[in-house]
Amino acid sequence: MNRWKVKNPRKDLSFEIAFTKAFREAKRNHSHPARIELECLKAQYPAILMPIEDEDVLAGRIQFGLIGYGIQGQTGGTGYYIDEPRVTEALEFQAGNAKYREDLHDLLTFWKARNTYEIVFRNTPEDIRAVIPTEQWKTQPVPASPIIRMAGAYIDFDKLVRIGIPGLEKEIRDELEAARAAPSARAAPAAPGEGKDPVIYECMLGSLEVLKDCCRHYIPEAQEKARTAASEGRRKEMADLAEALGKIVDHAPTTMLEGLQLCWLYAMMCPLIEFGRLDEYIGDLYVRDLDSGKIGEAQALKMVQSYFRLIDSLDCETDGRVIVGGYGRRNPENADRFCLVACEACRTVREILPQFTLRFTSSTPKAVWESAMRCIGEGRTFPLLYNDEVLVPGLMKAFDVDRARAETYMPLGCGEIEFDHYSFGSPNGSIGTLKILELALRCGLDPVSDRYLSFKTKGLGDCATYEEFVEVYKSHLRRFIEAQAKYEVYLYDAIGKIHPFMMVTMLYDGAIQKGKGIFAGGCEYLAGTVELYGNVDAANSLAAIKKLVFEDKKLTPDQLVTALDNNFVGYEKERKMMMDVPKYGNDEAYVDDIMADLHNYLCETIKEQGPKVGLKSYLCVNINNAQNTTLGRWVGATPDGRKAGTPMSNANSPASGTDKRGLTAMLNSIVKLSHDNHAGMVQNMRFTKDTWDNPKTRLLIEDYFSRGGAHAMITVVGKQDLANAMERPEEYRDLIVRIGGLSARYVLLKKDVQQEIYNRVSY
Amino acid sequence: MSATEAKAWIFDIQSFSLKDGPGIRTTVFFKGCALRCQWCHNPESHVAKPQLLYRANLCVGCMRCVDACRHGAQQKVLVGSAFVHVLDREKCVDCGECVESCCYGALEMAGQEYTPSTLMEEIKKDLRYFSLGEKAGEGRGGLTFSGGEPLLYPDFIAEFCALAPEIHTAVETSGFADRKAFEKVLDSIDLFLFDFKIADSKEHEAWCGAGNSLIVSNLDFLHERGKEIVLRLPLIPGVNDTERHARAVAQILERHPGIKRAEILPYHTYGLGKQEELGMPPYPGVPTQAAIPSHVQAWAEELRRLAGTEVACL
Ligand code: SF4
Ligand code: SF4
Repeated sequence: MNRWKVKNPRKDLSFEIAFTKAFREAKRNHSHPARIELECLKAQYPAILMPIEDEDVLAGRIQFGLIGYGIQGQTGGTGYYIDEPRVTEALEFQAGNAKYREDLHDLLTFWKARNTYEIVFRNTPEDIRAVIPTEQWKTQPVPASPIIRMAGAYIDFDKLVRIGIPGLEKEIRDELEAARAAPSARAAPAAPGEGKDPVIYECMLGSLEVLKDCCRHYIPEAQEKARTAASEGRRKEMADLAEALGKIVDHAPTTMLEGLQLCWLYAMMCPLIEFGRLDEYIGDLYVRDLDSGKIGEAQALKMVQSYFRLIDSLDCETDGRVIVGGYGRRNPENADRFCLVACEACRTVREILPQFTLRFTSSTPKAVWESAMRCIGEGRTFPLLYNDEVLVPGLMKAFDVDRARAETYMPLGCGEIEFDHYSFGSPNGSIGTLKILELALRCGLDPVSDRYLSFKTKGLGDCATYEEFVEVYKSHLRRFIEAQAKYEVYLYDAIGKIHPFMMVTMLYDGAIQKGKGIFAGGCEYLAGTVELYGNVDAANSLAAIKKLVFEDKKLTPDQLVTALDNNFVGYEKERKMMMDVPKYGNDEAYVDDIMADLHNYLCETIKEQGPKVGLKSYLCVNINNAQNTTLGRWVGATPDGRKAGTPMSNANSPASGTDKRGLTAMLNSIVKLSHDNHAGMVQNMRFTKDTWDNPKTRLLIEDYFSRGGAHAMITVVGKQDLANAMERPEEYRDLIVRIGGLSARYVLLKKDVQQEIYNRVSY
Repeated sequence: MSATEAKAWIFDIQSFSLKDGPGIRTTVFFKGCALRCQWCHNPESHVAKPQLLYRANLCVGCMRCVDACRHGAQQKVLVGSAFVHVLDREKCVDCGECVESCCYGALEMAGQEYTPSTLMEEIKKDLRYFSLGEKAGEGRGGLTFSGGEPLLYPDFIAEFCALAPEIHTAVETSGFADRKAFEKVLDSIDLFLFDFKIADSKEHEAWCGAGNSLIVSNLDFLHERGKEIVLRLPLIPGVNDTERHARAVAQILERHPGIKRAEILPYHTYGLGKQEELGMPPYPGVPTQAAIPSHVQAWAEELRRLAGTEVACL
C-alpha cells in the first residue's frame, strides 16, 4: 500500500480508533447507508488532512488512515476498509499503553467481517465463485481473478468550478424539497435505489458541510503562515490562500487559486485519484486571472505545480490522471492556452504523478504539441498521448454512443476509457489469456498447481486440426469472460447497497435528479471493463502450435506438451523450434493474423456480455502495469518458447526480445489491431535520447498516429542508463519508467521487473 | 527466386536508420571487405562468408551445443571442479550447425544469403517510411547499402535497383573496390557516402591494410561523373584527429567542388565487443575510448574553417 507523502505523518492509530467508534455509533443509530456514510465522512474529515508544507500554495495534504472510508484501493481501500497487515504491525511493534493495545485488538476483530471488501467477497454468488474462486492472483496460479474496487470515478469538476458549493447546495435543496413534498416520502423512507429519497439529499447537504469544514480547517493555519512566513512572497501566498479558502465556502470560485483549491479538497473527500480535464475546468479562470493582470505566468505555473505535487503526494503509482486537450471541451481556446502551463508544470515537477495525458486532434495547436514533445524528450514519459482522431470514432462503435459523448472520453488508471462524469467502468476483473491457453492444452488441467482450473475439455492431443484446438481454447476463454461479466454486475450491486458514495454521486450527470447513489441507479451509464494479460504470448504460442504441430508436423501434441511440462529441460531442441516460429511485432502476416483474430475474438466476446448481464457496455482493456510480470510468475512454460514463470509481454507490445525487425516493423504490426471494440489499449515505445532528438523520429511518431495508432507511451531513456541504474540505484532515483500504465521509479522496481524492462529492445 | 539472380551475404538489415543518408532509411549491411581498418566497428563484415558469433556473456553453460558440433569446436571442459563451455575457434569451420541448439542467444551466424528478390521481400515492410522525410524537409529516405564493402556485390546492387527503380538508394563505400564495380552501379545509385580516412597513402596502408590511391581515383571518377557524394570522415583519436588531417580533407574537398557535404563519424567502442564475439584479437593500435565530443566539435570547426563545406557530426 502507498505511504502518503506528508512531512510529519501521524504516529499512532488514534484516528483509526476514533473512526471506528464513529462507525459503530452510526451503525447503532442509523440504518440508512447515506447516514452511515455521512457520519464516517465527519469522522474522517478534516481529521486526516495534514498541514500545509513549505512548497505548497494549495492546502490539502492528506494521510489516509489504516482504517477508513474510500472508493478505490489507492486511498486505503474500497468502502469501509482496514489495512489489516499494518494494523497488526502497529499492534506488534508500536508503543502504547494497555488501553491503546486493547483498542488495536478491537480494531482487528471489529473490522474482520465488517469491512466492505470482506462482505462483498464473502457473498459472491456460487455460480460465479465456481469459475473465479479467488482474487489471490499475486500468490496463486489463477486464470481469471476478480478485483474488488470501484476504480476510476471522473466527477464533473467543471460544474463544481462553475457553480461552486452554493450552486450544488441549491440544486440539492430543490430536489430535497420536491422529494419531501412527494407522497411516498412521507409514507416511509424509500430504500436506496427506489424513488426519490429525501435522506440521501439531506446527507448530501451534510457532506457539503463537511467539505466546508475542510476549507475552514485550513484558514487559521494559512493566516498564521501569512503572519510568520520569512519572505514577503510567501506571506502573500498564504494570505491569498486564506482568503480563497474562505471564499469558496459560500461562493463559486472566481480565481484560478479558488478553483484549484476547491477541486482538490472536493476530490480528497470522495476520495478520488483522477483529476479530470484540468484545462477545461481551470482554463477560464486562468485566462481571466492572467488577462486581468491579477496573476502572472509564473504564479499560474506555481499553482499548477502545487496541484501536481499534491497529486503526487497521494503516492498511488497508477491513476492520478490529469487530462488536457482533445475534442469536446467547453472552452477550447482558453483550455489550449492553459495546456501550455500544464505541460510546463509536468516538465518541471519531476515526480511520478500525475499521469499527465494529452489528447490531441488534427487541430491541436503546434505550441501544445511541441511542449508535449519537449516534455517527453526530457525523459518524463509524459504526457501520455491519445489520438482523438482514431479514438473518438472507435469509441463511438465500442460503446455505442454518439460523437458528442465519445468526445468526452477519459482514460483512467492504466488506460481504461470512461466518459467524463457520465459513465463508470471500473476494471473489476483480470483474465490471463496465456494461462488459459496453458489449461486448454491439457484439457483444463493447470500444470503449475496440478489442479483443474477450468472445465474438462478436449486437449491438444484430441484435436485433429488447428482450428479445432482454437475452438477448445476459445471455449475456455468464454467461460471466464462470462463469469467476470457477471461478477462486475454483482460487485456494483453489492457495493451500491452499502455505499451511496455521495461526494461522487453529486457530480455525476443526472445523479442528483435521480437521488440515487452512483451504483444504485445514479449512474447513467454503468459499464464494466476486464483487463487482459498475455495476449501477445498467447498469439505467439498459437502460431507455434499451428506451425509445428499441424502444418509442419515437426512435433506431436504429446511432444509439445511434454517439452512444456519439463520447462524445456532436456527439450532445448524443441524450445528452439518454438522460438523460431514467427513472433508478433515483426510485420509477419502469419502470426500477426493470429494475433488479430485472437484480439477480435476477445474484444467481441467480451463486448457481447454487456447487454447479457445488464451493463451499458462491457469491454476489455489491454493495458499494463506490472501484472504481466506478476501473473507470468504462475504460468508454466508456453509454446512460444517462454520459460516457466518468466514475464509475459507487456500489453500489446511484442514479447521481450522478439521484435527483431525493429521499430518500423513493430509499428506495422501494431496498427493491424482494431480500436473499435475495446475500452483501452496501451502501446509503449522507448527511445534513446539521441534517437528521440532526431527530427526524423517525430515523423515516425506522427506517421504512426496518422495511420491508426491510437495511443503511445513514450519513454526516452538509454539502455545504458538502465544498466547503470541497476548497478547504482542511488544515482538514478529520478529515472521514471513506464511499465505501461504504471509509472514508477525504475530503481524501486523489483529486480525481475527491472530486468524485463531492460530486455525489451530499445531504439 | 530465379536461378540466375545474384547472391550476396548480408549480416544485418537495420530499419529506421537515421544517419546513413537523407530521410528514414533501411540500411543493408553486406559481408566482405578488402580493407582492415583497425578501428572497424563492424568486424563481422570483414569476410565474405558466414561466421559464427559467440556471446560468452549470454552462455549459460548448458552444453547443448557440444553435441551439436561435429567438428569438436564446442567443448565441455573441466576447469577446477566444474565443467565450463569453451568454443575452440581453431576447430570451428563456421558451418552454423550448433546455432540451432542454443536457446540463449549465445550462438548466432553472422551472414545470411540473399538474392535481390528475397531482400526486396524483406524491405517491403519499410517502404512506407521512406517517403516520410521528404514532406517534412528531412529528405527522401530509402535504402543504404553498407557493409563491409557493398561494391563487392555490384551485380546484386544493380539487379536490386532494377527491381525498384523508384527507391532512393545510397551506397556507403570505402572506395576500395574495382572501378568496374562503380561503373556497374553508377546509374542506379543516387548517392554515394564515400569514406575518406587517411590522406597519406603509406599511413593508410599501415592502418587500413592497403594504400589509398585506388580510393582517391574512384572518388575522382564519381566526381567526374557528377554523382552526388557525401564525404564521410571517421575521426579516430590518435590516428587522424589532427590538424594535418583536417587540412588534407579540406584539400580533397577543394579538388572536388561537387561534394557539398562532409560528415564526421566520431569513433566509438561498440565494435570492441563484436571482435570478442568473433574470436578476433583486438587490433593493437585501436583506442579503447570513444572520441571526446568536445574534441570532435573542435575538429569539425577547424575543417569548416578550412573547407567552407557543410560539415556535420553524426
Ligand atoms: S548451447 Fe548456448 S548456452 Fe549452451 S553451452 Fe552452448 S553456447 Fe552456451
Ligand atoms: S559453427 Fe559449426 S564448427 Fe563452428 S562450433 Fe558451430 S557447429 Fe561447430
